Amino acid sequence: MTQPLLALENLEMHFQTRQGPLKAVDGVSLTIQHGETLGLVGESGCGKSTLARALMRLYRPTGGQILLDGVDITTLNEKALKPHRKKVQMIFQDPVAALNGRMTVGELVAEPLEIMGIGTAETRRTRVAELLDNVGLGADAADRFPHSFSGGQRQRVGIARAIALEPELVVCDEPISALDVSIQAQIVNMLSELKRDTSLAYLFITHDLSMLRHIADRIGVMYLGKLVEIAPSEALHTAPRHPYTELLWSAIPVPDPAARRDDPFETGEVPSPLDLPSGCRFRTRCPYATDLCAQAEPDLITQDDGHAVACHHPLHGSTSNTQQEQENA
Amino acid sequence: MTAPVLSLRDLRTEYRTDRGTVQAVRGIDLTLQRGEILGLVGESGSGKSVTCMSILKLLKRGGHITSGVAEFEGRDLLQLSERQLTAVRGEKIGVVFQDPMSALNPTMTVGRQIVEVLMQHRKISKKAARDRAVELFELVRIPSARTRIDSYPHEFSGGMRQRVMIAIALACDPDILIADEPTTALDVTIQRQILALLKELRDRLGMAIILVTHDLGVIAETADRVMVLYGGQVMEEALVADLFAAPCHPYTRGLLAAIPDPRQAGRPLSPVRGSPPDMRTPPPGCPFAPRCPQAMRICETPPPMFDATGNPALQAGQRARCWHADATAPAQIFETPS
Repeated sequence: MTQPLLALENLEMHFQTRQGPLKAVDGVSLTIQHGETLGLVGESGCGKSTLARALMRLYRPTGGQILLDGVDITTLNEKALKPHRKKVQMIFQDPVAALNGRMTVGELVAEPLEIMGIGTAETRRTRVAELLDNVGLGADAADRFPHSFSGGQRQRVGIARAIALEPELVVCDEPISALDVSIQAQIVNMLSELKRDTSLAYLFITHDLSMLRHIADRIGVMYLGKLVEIAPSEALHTAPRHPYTELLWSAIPVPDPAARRDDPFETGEVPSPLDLPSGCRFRTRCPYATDLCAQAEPDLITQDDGHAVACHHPLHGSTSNTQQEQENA
Repeated sequence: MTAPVLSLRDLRTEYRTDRGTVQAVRGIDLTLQRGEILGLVGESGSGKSVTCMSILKLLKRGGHITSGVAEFEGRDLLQLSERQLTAVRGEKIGVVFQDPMSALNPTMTVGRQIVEVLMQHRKISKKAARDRAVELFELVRIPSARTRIDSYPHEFSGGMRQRVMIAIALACDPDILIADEPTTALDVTIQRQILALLKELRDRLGMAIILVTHDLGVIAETADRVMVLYGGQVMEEALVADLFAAPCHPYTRGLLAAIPDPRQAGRPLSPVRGSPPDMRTPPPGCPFAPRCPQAMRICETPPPMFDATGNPALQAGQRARCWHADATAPAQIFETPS
C-alpha cells in the first residue's frame, strides 16, 4: 500500500481534571489515504472532536504519534509546524462563531493566504473570487459581511477559507449539524464536488449516521475514547461487528412510518469517562457481555476483509478476536 | 369526532427587533385531539416553536401575538391574565424544552423543584408531594428514584435531565404536553429512549402531545399526525402515514427527497435549492415559491389551504397550502410559469 496521507499511531489525549485523569482519546490508531473520506461517529463525549483537534495539533497529544505524509508532527513546535499546517485545514460546526464578524467575506477567505505569505494583494483577490465561485457564493460576496448571509451560506464561506490553501486533508467537525435539513444536502453535495478530480481527503466527524453512509468511504466508530470498529462504509452499515455499532444503527430514527418501532429501547447510558468500566468500555450496555469482557480490554484487530473490530464476541459471523489470537499464537 | 382538546385559529405572532419586525407566525390553525401526538416539523424560522410558545404566552422579549384564538376548555388562552395563565401552565399544559439544563434551577435539588410545582398547584403536604415526586421519577424510568430525587441537575446526564424535565411537566397530570425539540440536544441512543418514553406516557396517561422537531425521522417514529411549517404558515398537514406515502406540497416533497437514501449511497443528494426567506420581508405569495421547482405566476398570490374535496391526490384529513392542490382551478393557471 502507498504511504497514507495521515497515520495516527496509538494517539492519546489525556487531560488532568480535578476529578482525575480524563482519557478523552485513549490510544487510537487509524489511517487516511489521499483522496479518501473517512467518517468518524460516536456519541457526545466519545472523543471524536478531541481526536480532530489533536491531529490538527491544536493540542499537544499526551501520547502516540501523528504522521502526516510520513512526517512525525506530534511534538513539532509552532514554527516547525507551519509548513504542515497548510496541508490540513478544518471546517467547524458553527460557521457564525468561526468567522470574525468585522471582516468582509473577501478578507476572511484571503486571510489564510496572507498568513502563509502566498501571492500579492492582487493575485489573492483573483484567487478569492475563484474560491467564492467554487463554493457557489459568487465573487460578489467578497465585499459583504458574514452576518448578511444565512447559515448555509456562512458555512460556504468557512469552506472557501478551508480550501484556500489547497490542503490535502480537510477535517470537517459536524459541518452540517447546525444547518437546516434542506440546506444540509447542498453542503454535502458541494463537499463531494470539491474533492472530485483531486486527491483531497476528508475526515468527516458527525453524529448523523445516515449522512455519513452517503459520503464516507470508510467509517470509524468511537466509544469512550477508543476506536471500537472501523470498516468500509457499506460493510459497517449492513454487517456491523461491534455491538455498539449495532446499537447506534438501531437508534437512528427511520423516516418511514411503516417501519415504526415501539419497543422501549432501554439501553442505559454512557458511563462517566472519569470512571471507566474495567475491561471493555462498552460492556455495561452490551447485551452480549460475558465475564471475559469485564476482565480484559479487547484490542482492535483487523480481519482479512479489512474490517477491524475491538470485541471479544463480534457479530455477524466474524471470527472472534480471541479465537484469532489463539490461531495466530 | 370528539371536541379537540386545543384549537388554535389564525394565530399571528411577530417579533420586534432592532433590525425590523419578524413575522414569525402568519395565520396558523391547529387542532389537537385528546391523546394524539401531533408533530410540528419545520426548519429554523418556520414558526414551529413560536407557535407553541404563543399558546402559553411564553414569548421572548419583543414577541407579540397580534391576533388569534387559542381555545382550551372553553376559554381563549390568549385572553387570560398572567395569573390565570400561571394556573394553566404546569397544571393543564406541561412544557419540555430542548435544553433541560437552562430550564432547571442549578442550585436546587430536582426533587425540591418538583415538590415546588406540586405545592403551587395542589393543596398537598410536603410529604405527599415528595411521594408523588418519587412516583413521577419512576414513571419516567429514572433508576433509583428515591435517592436520585435529592440530586442536583448537574449530577444527571443529558438524557436523565430530560427525563427530570418530563417528570416536572407531568407533575399535575396535564391534558397537553408541549415538547419543543426535546431530543435535539441528545445522542441518538438517548433520543430513541426519550421518544419511546413519550409514546408510552401518552398511552398510559392519555394526554395529547405537541412534538416540535426539525427531524422527519423523529416524526415518522413518533407522531400520529403532522403539520409541516414554512415561513410562518402551515404548508401541509396529514396523518403521518399519508404524508410520507403521498406528500402533496412541493416543500414537503423537497424535504423528504433531501433525506439521504441508503439505496442511493454515493450519489449526489437532492437538496432544496436556495435559502429560507427573511421573515422581516416574507415573499408576497406562497413563502416557498422562490425556492419551488413548480412555481407559477399565481404563486405570487397567497394560496389558501386546500383539502381532499374533489382532489384525489389528497387523503381524508390531508390539506395543502399550494395552488397545485386546487382541484377546481382552471387548467390555464398551471401553464404560466413564474
